[in-house]
Amino acid sequence: MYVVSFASTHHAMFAEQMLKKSEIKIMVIPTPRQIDKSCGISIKFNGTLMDKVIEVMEKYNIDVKGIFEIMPDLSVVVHYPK
Amino acid sequence: MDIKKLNCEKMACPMPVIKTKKELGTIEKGALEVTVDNNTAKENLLKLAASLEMAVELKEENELFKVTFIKTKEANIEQKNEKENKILQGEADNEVLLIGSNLLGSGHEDLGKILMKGFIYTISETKPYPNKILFINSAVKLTAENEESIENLKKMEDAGVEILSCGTCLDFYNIKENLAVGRVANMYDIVEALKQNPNRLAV
Repeated sequence: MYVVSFASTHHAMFAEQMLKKSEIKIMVIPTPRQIDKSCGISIKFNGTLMDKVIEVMEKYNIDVKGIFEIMPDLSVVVHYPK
Repeated sequence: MDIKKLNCEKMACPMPVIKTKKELGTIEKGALEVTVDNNTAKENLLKLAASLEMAVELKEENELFKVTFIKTKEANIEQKNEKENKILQGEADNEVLLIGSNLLGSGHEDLGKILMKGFIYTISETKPYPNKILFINSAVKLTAENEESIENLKKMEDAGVEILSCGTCLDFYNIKENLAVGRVANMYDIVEALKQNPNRLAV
């Protein structure tokens, strides 16, 4: 599972709108516990869309905390920032 | 006792927690001292320790926090799983969830919407599932309009959860044709479901 988390809820909500506008299929979810217990809202997306998601984040200057992959054993891989 | 050290200064949440978790996984028995430079990171590390039921020591030095995790036995994580299993096998049967709005909580509409989407996603990721989920008033937008909620509700329906949407409400919002998951219910179905099930939760 790939998720992008944000510096604030406002950034998450704005990112949701921009990703939808760019016709990228996403799902808004509470930030998974494996990533953080207090960082609010994240957006889940299909890993194959990674480049597109990063493109949108950079284009609209969205304050991204990171892009993470939660592995089946619940460990977390950080994909962004590199 | 060996003390491993991990420096997480200048790292933004959630990095310290992720790094700490990873490091803890490599330790069988012993201690791990994690250094962070802000209060949020410190609090998150303490929460992590609590969730792993692990002992911690906290020191403050020169505006830095040093959180030492003490791993006394390898069983920490297994113990937690056992506890979770017990809850799973417990009395969560017969649970009914009544959702009365497309917004979760009262406050800003945009926030309410996003929280509700997150709520439904989290319900769909948390076993055991409720028996039935009832949608009334604007909550029927979640079964008829909102793609993300519909996807998550379908997952639960496939697992046997009954999804019931108030017909009067679908009518009122003029979205009866769009109902995408579960079936239409009337007030009798809703009241019956509430009366028959001992565990009721309304949001």
